[in-house]
Amino acid sequence: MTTPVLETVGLAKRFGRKWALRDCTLSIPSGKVAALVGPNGAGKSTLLRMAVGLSRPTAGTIKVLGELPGHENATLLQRIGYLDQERPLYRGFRVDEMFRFGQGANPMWNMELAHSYVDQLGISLRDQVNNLSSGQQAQVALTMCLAKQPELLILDEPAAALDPIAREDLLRLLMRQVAERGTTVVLSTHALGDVGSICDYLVILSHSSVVLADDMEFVVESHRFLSASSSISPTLPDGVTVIDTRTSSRDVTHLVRMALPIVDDTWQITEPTLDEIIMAYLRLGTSSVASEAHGPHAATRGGIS
Amino acid sequence: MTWMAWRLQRSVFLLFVVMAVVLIGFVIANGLHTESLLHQWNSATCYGTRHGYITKSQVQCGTIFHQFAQSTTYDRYFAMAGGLLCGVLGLLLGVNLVASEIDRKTVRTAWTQSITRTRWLSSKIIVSLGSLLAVGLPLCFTHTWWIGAVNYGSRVAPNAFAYDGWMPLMIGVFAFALTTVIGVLLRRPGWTIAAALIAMVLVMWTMQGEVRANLVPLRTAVVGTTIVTKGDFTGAIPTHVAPKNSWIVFQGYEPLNSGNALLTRGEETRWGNEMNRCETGPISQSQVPACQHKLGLRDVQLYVANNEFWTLQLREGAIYLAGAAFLFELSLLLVRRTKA
Repeated sequence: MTTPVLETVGLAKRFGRKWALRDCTLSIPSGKVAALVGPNGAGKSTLLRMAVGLSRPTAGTIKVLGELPGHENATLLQRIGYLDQERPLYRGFRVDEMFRFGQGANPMWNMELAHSYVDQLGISLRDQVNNLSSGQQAQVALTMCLAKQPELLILDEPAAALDPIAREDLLRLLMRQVAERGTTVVLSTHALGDVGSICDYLVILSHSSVVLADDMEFVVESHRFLSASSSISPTLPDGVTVIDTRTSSRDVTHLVRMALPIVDDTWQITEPTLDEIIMAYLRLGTSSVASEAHGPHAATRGGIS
Repeated sequence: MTWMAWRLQRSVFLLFVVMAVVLIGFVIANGLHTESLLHQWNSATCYGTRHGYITKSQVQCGTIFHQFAQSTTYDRYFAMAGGLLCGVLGLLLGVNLVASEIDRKTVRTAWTQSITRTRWLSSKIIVSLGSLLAVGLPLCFTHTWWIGAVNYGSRVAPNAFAYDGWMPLMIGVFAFALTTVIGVLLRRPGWTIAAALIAMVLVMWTMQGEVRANLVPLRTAVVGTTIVTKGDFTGAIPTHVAPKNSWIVFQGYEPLNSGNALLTRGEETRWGNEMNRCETGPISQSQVPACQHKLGLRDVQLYVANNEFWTLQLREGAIYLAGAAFLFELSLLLVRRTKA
């Protein structure tokens, strides 16, 4: 069994009296493009910053590529590329100066790769970072991560606030790296469209806790809508966990996670879309409906213990 | 990392290089001019004029004296500018080192490259110290020469000591270290500069008022008095006072067995008041010594001689350097613990 790229056990982070992340236990396997999804304040950025050693846990442990992240662990930092959501580049630098910095700070730096990426994107090396559009700044920041040639890319909302074209360019650049080098990616995002199109592993964080962590394929296959007339109100099949329930005057519809295939004629069974599943889980934290599915342990397979 | 550290402070450094060059240029020109005037004034030609006699060279020597007075009018400000330049450079380099990077969040980029925070900060500290040396050393050399050339006065006295010798450089290094630590703690450049300025003023005030006089053994001049009558003036004139250009740390009355130790402020006031109470009525030649004898006091000047200048420079500079070294170590410790 290969070492998970990101493994946390009971991880928690508190800022003052507020918990940004609580009791987070998950394990993301290598070779995946994992999406970290959750509403604002769910703890996504907090988790990613702890993964790269920018912040220390209040409780629990976190391992990245089998090692404890820390400010003095340069060998681990060498294996990770991190893109912060604010894309903090040195505004007064030119693009080539940013790359020179990258070269000086990373032994595995590939200058040729960095030049070819920005060249393809139409960004001049002589351009000052401050004069670039936010989309171009994101591209430069991502190129800084890619030119390190890391094993793991940790991207905090890489495509946030970008126009559709810039977003597509950025994601194309990212996917090229994944295809060419087999880099594992963990990215946080609000864009559900990106999750379905580029990711193959899903982690959902809600209200500072992990509510789902699994392979994308399995996530879709293991969820179903069960609908029935509200006047009949049949008993739910065995082995299902209700994630979300919607009722109208005539029907009741449950989104359920099933352990085994459902064979029950009393329910009309339909396959939900990925967006519907994610939205249901995001609502989970704010709703008291999912009685059985409360807590992270109910909605996971393998990824969460 | 060296290039990166240099690139981040390049503008500040170049600005201060320009200021230093302008100041050094002025100081050299002014120093040579004033030195020449002093030389002429002290020459045999102006001997008579110097002693108040009317001579054939009266007009020429008067002009020289006038020019000398003019050329030294703003000495105090130039001395201060030279001293302050290093301190302000230290302050700005210190605030750039960590606080600005935390504020702009660029530490998130820097601290996730393949280098440790220790190496990141050490490189920046070393490059900044190099910049401080590059600006401070020529400035210290020229200023030290200039203060001597313009006959500035006592070099150990507080009005010049901190701007003379290698003190500007040492103060600059200390200001740099102090601002770095405050920057890590406060994380905002504006607040960091404000706090560091206040802290530096306090440190320098404490050093001048409480520490410096204890760094070298004080010497004592037991002052006598002579009653002098000249024209309509009759009064007590002190004799056997401290040598010219000394830094007089204490002047007043102290018990006979005090040695060279400084009195406390309470003791100073007490003995002064006792003498004032004793000396009543018109001053007579015998009254002051009589009072001193009666109270068991002596009139003294405790001073630091001008020739202790380099000893004092070395010791005070070493204190600033040791303080800076401690603060650099502290900043390394704090940076390792701080969150981005």
